[in-house]
Amino acid sequence: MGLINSENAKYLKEHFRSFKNPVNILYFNSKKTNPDFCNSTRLILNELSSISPKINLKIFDFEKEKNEVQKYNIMMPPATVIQSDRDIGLRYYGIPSGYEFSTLINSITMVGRGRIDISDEVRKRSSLLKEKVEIMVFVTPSCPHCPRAAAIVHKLAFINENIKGTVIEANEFPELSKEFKVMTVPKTIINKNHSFEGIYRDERFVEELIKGIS
Amino acid sequence: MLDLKFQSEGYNTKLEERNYDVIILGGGPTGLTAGIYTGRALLKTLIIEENMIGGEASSTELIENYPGFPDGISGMELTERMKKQVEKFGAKIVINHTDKVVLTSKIKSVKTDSEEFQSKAIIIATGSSPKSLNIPGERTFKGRGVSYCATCDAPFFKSKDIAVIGAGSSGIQEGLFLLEYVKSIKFIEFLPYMTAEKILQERIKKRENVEFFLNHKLLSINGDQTVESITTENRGTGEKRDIPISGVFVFVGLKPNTELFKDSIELDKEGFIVADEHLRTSLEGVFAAGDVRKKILRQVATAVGDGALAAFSAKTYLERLKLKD
Ligand SMILES: Cc1cc2nc3c(=O)[nH]c(=O)nc-3n(C[C@H](O)[C@H](O)[C@H](O)COP(=O)(O)OP(=O)(O)OC[C@H]3O[C@@H](n4cnc5c(N)ncnc54)[C@H](O)[C@@H]3O)c2cc1C
Repeated sequence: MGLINSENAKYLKEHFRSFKNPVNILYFNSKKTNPDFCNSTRLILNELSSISPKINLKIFDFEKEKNEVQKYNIMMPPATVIQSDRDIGLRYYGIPSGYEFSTLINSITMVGRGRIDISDEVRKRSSLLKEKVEIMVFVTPSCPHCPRAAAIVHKLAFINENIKGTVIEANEFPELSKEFKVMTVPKTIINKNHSFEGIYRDERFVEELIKGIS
Repeated sequence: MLDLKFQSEGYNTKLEERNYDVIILGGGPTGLTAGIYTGRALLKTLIIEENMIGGEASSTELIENYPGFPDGISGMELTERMKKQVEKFGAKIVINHTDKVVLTSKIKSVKTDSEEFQSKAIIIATGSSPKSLNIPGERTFKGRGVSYCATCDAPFFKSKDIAVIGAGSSGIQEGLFLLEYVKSIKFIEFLPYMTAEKILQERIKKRENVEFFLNHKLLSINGDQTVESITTENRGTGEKRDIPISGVFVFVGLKPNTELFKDSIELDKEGFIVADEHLRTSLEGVFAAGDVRKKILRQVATAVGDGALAAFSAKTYLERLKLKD
């Protein structure tokens, strides 16, 4: 048996079948930096892509393929980029395991379906943002609330090209967690300066986002 | 072995169907059990969960007192199984924030951030959230050393000295889990004795790196950028003490998730929903079950009992309604 149990694999196969668009996953692997985390991530993504022809996986070597690393602005491996035919700013750093497997599937689903469910108000306000903004959210795989924080960040990136949504597994990147003083998850950081902890509903999240930019 | 948690119904679900026989608010053990029973009664059922399926129980590392699992079972796994079971019997699940409810009319309506649903009966199973201490420093240091979720945040306190506030079952159980990461724990308990299950008390007392401050009140959480110490007061002698620690985990009880209902349903003075022995609330067609209602024991075993009973009562109510029409 693989990492994804047969029951979930069966479900996902059906689930992916309904996708309108193919989903391209670009994965940045390394044998030197975080090799164990990379190996696990690679196994998960390989299995996922073998479930459905709608999921395409392309693997890059973080150490060797510097052009791609630069083009996609990859900080460290393991890094996963989820995109349609172009980069829409979705990044996931770390092994998408535990509850974070849901985050991965949710983001893939969003791209595959080419639409999201979000209130008109949130859509309107977030699509108005004209300046570039990076939202980082720190999570752990054992945190049941974290996929919700990750979901809103990826949704906003999906709506607005100026928004980059980066999800980071805090345990696997202790230095980064230290730099951003992560002592609880989820923790959201806007443009590397404005931060807040916990789950916010979509409307309030967008308010914080606007606060963080100005 | 990597554990992959996957919610087969999630944030991207858009349901075509707007009308249901029963809407269950909350997808913890109570809501899921209620859904199994209403599903098997062939009632059209919708479960609305605003966070993650599984509720409080899903963030508990190991549940040892739920019957049927002699070796214990992780809260995640137990609730994941309940979720599969509820889906098998046809209940729909939607993950969204509930914005507004109208419960006073015969047809009830529930508005989420993006959709509106209607039903003839409602089961409220919104559970409760960890209570705060409301002492100086708690808000300032939330996320800077103050935490309410051991499974989420334990890794950030590796080899540190920490305090756990509250020596009830949750506090001791989560403390035992935290000991896998931290260097030592000081337990601060307001009462002169521990209220945790005896078996948990025995286990924690066997550990070397723990210390108990019973009959102690926590006065403040102190520090500069992050938590550096706590100040306690011995309630017997009045003696105050500063204890250096770098993390505070708070398990001092629960506050009910009843904000949405406070103007329409009878609550007790702590905000828990008052329900009768059939789990009927003060409003016709609205039932309350699990941790959200006024009761004396809040556990998974009592939650699932409530879920089954509320579903049965809702079914009976719907049958009577049909006879009247
Ligand atoms: C630290 C800790 C350890 C525990 N250990 C044990 C143990 O070992 N054994 C045991 O038996 N019990 C244990 N418990 C208790 C057990 O977790 C609860 O009794 C049980 O989860 C209650 O189930 P519930 O479904 O009523 O509520 P909850 O589990 O609280 O679920 C309620 C759900 O409703 C959702 N919700 C809230 N508001 C809304 C809304 N407006 N709309 C939609 N959804 C909403 C919430 O997100 C949540 O998912 C523990 C609890 C804690 C906190």
